[in-house]
Amino acid sequence: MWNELDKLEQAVEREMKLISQLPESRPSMTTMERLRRTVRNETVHYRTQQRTLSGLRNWGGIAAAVALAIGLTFGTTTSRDVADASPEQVLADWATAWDESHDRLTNVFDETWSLADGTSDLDDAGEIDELFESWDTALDQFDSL
Amino acid sequence: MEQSEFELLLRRARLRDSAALDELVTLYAPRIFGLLHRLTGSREAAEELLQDTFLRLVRTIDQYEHSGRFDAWLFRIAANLARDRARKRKRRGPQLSLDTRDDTGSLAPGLEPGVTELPSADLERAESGQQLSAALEQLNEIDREIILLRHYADLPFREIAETLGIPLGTALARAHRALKHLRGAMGVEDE
Repeated sequence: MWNELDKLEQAVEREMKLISQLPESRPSMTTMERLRRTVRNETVHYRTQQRTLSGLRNWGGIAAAVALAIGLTFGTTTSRDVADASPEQVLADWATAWDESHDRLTNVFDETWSLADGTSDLDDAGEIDELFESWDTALDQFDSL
Repeated sequence: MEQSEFELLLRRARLRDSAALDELVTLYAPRIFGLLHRLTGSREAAEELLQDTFLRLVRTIDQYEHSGRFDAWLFRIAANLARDRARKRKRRGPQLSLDTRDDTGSLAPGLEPGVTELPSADLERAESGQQLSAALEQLNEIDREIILLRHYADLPFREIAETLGIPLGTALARAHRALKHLRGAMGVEDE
C-alpha cells in the first residue's frame, strides 16, 4: 500500500515538471511597497494595543488595591444586604464582582480588536471615555459599600 | 537561509520586530502572490488577499508553533483566504470580473501593457504558458489548489493533503488526474 503510494507520488512529482511552464506572476513594486507599509502599520497598531492593555491591567490592579484599602478602612453602608452580611462575605462578593468586571474589561478590549479590518473599535476616544467612566462608577459603588 | 537563522527571524517576528516582518514579506510575498493570482485568476484579488494574509501573520504569529513548517502554516492561511473568497463569490452568484484582462489572458503573461513584440522562442514559451494558465483555470478548485500548493509553496503532497483535510492517496490521485488533463489541454503526450 505505502509502496504504491510512493510510486504514485514519484510519478506525480515527475509530471509536475509541466507546471514549470507556468508564467511567473509577481506582485508589482507598488504592491510590495503597499504591503510593507500595511505590515508596518499593523505592527505599530498591535504594539500600541498591547501597551494599552497592559497599562490598563496595571492601572486596574492599582485602582482595585486602593479602592479595597479605602473601602475596608472607611467603608460604611446603609444597604441591608451588606449590613446583614459578614465582612468576609462582603469582601468575597466584591472580589467576585471585581473579577467579573476585570474579565469584561479585558474582553471588551480583546473583542473590539477587529481581525477583519485591522482596526480597533476603541479607536473612538468617546468609547474609551465611556469605558473608563463605567469603571469609575464601579469603583464608586465599591466606596459606598 | 540557515535553519537557525530562520528560527531567529521567526522569534523576532513574534516580538513584532518590524525588520523581521519586513524580511518575511520579502521572502514569501512573491510566491504567495503567485499562488493567490492563480487561485483567484485576478491580480486585484491576489493583491487584496496578499495583504490579508500578512495582516493575519502579524496578528496570529503567536499561534504558530515552530516545527519547521512555517511555509505550510503561512501558505495555508493564504489558501484558506482564497477559498473563503471563492465561497463568498459563489454565494453571491456569477459576477463580471473587473480585471478580465487577467482572466482572458489577452496579454502574453509577463508582458507589460504596450509591449507587443517578443522573440519567437519567448513568444512560444509565452503562448504555452498562456495555454497552461487557461487549462489550470478549467480544473476544479481542489485539484487546482493541490497543483498550485505543490508548485508555489513547495509543500510535499503529504502536507498538502493535511492542509486540505484529505487522505494522501486522494491528493495524489487528484494531482495525477489534473496533470493528465493539463497535458491533454496542451497537446503534450502522456509519459
